Amino acid sequence: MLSAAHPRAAWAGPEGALPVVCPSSADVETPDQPLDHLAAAIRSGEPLDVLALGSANTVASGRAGYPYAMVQALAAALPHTTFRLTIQGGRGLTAGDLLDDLRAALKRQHIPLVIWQTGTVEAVRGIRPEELRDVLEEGASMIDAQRGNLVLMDPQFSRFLRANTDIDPYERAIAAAAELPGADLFRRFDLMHGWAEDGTLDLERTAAADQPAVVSLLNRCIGRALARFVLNGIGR
Amino acid sequence: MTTLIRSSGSRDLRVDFFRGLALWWIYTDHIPGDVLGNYSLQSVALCDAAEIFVLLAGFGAGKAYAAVMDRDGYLYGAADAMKRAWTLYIAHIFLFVVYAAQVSYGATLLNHLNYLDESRLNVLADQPYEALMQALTLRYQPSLLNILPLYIVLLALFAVAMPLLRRPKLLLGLSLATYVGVRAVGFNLPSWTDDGWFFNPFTWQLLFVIGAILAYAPPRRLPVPTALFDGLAVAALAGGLVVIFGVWQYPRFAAALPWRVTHALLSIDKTNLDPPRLISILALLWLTVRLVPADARWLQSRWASPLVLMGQHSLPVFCFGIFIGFFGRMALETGDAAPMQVLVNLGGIASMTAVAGLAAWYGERGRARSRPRPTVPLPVPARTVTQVSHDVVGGFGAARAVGGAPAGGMGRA
Repeated sequence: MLSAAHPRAAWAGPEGALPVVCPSSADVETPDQPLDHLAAAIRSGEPLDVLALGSANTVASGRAGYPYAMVQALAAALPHTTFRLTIQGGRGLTAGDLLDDLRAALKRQHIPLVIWQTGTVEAVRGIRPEELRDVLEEGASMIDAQRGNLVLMDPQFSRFLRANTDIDPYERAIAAAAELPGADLFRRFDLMHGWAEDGTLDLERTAAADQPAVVSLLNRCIGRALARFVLNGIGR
Repeated sequence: MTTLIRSSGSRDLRVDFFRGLALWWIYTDHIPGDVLGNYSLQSVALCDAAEIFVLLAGFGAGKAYAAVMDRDGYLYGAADAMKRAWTLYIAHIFLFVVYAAQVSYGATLLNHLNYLDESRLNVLADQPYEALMQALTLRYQPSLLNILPLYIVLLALFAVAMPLLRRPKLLLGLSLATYVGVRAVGFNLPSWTDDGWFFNPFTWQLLFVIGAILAYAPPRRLPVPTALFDGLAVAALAGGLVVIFGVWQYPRFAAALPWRVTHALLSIDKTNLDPPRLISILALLWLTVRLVPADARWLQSRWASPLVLMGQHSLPVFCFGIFIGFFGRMALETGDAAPMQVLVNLGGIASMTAVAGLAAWYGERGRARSRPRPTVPLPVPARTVTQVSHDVVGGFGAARAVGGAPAGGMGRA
């Protein structure tokens, strides 16, 4: 289990130069429901807690991971807000494994924004999709009850995963949970599928030597797309 | 190629054709990046190749082993089915080794170590001794290697339940009750890495039993009114399209439906053969029977022959498909533009057909050698072997009289 809390880490400075411009997709970056709780928290002017929950995708890249890239981009767009990012999760952990961590975190403090990356471990281990949906719905209700918004993030696009597991029922389970009040779905699978189709970013078709660079770029681009999603959700 | 196809009065080429088609879809669906995988049955129906495969496996068992049971008695028929299950087990263990070697080698070569997690081969490295034992007991099934374990258990269950084929309504009732009961209590065979088997044998048995009954005791005529069933089948498939292209694409639309309906439609699951999947395959079965007569000319045509031939030799073709699927996967890794797609798919169907052709040729030669030669008359002693078959009185099948004793005297009854 990895937990990295960085109290008072303000990301107000200018962003580092990127080697390429991340491709954007307006379709994926617009939430279905506005992120009202988050908007209210930002208006209050208080330091704002962000929790990123997930499996290897969320924790493995450490400071080069997408949650940091997202918070960095948010801080750049909202210079008067201080963001505090906490990352929780670990390789091979299911949504069910993370539910207790979420409950504990919500007890400790008010968290206006939770990013929850999920679905891959469940699909690989063949856990029943209803079970995933029930866990996510329970989490979504808890977050909403504490005046927070939940952004669910589905599995990354992977031809291998798609051919080796029955991924669709898990996608639908996540989409169903995202229909609850206060919850939204960030469709990472579709976003990355688009990048792979047009050849901009395709990890599975990258030579081994170039993979670290592409992983880091992917993290940055997903973080930024996520930030635009959040900003669209609060009407910025 | 058409000369290699086994055909006789009782052989239903539709079964062979659609089993071949299912094998083909299993090949394309399991190669990451194969464009044809986007256009197989599962893209337009709630069921997929797995349902066809299990239904027709049941049909095959109902024809082959039940015939042995009727001819040679229950015990021999059951032993024959168990021998087949044993062959499938050996094939499964062989495939396990091949698949583990291929994926782990490929993942290391391409530096995609996530492939090991995503195909559940990671536990093989984490706990190798335990993993091997669990693989032998079928409690550890990496991705893609879950259909043969299902087939093995279904055949073993079938070996026990075979005599009930003579009371098809009772068998169907028991099978349906098991399906409903197991779904209600959530029972499944245990798995080492997961919650249970990917294909729960106790729910999937219903499809296998339906296939077996259709083969052994086919209804003399279709249930009436046929027009009503036609309408229901079309409605079921159209409903499937609405779910796939409506509800699944637009969960907002689904949210407008009653909560229970939405939840049921969004979480249609394969593990327990959820009712929408069962209805979908039965609707397809009905319409196929209605639209494709057993003696349809196109089934004997040249273009249908690769699939018919593949369907007649499903085990070697299935194993070979998993094996070369890996090379298809590696080829598409280097580039998945049109020429490579054509190569992988044409190469796949050509080599799978070749394997089926080889199996057919070898099998035919074997049968020809063991056939009696009627041109050489043998001297017949006064008291000799007499075989009595199809004596089904008393339940357990054929009485075989040996050494001239009256039928039933020394025979098994």
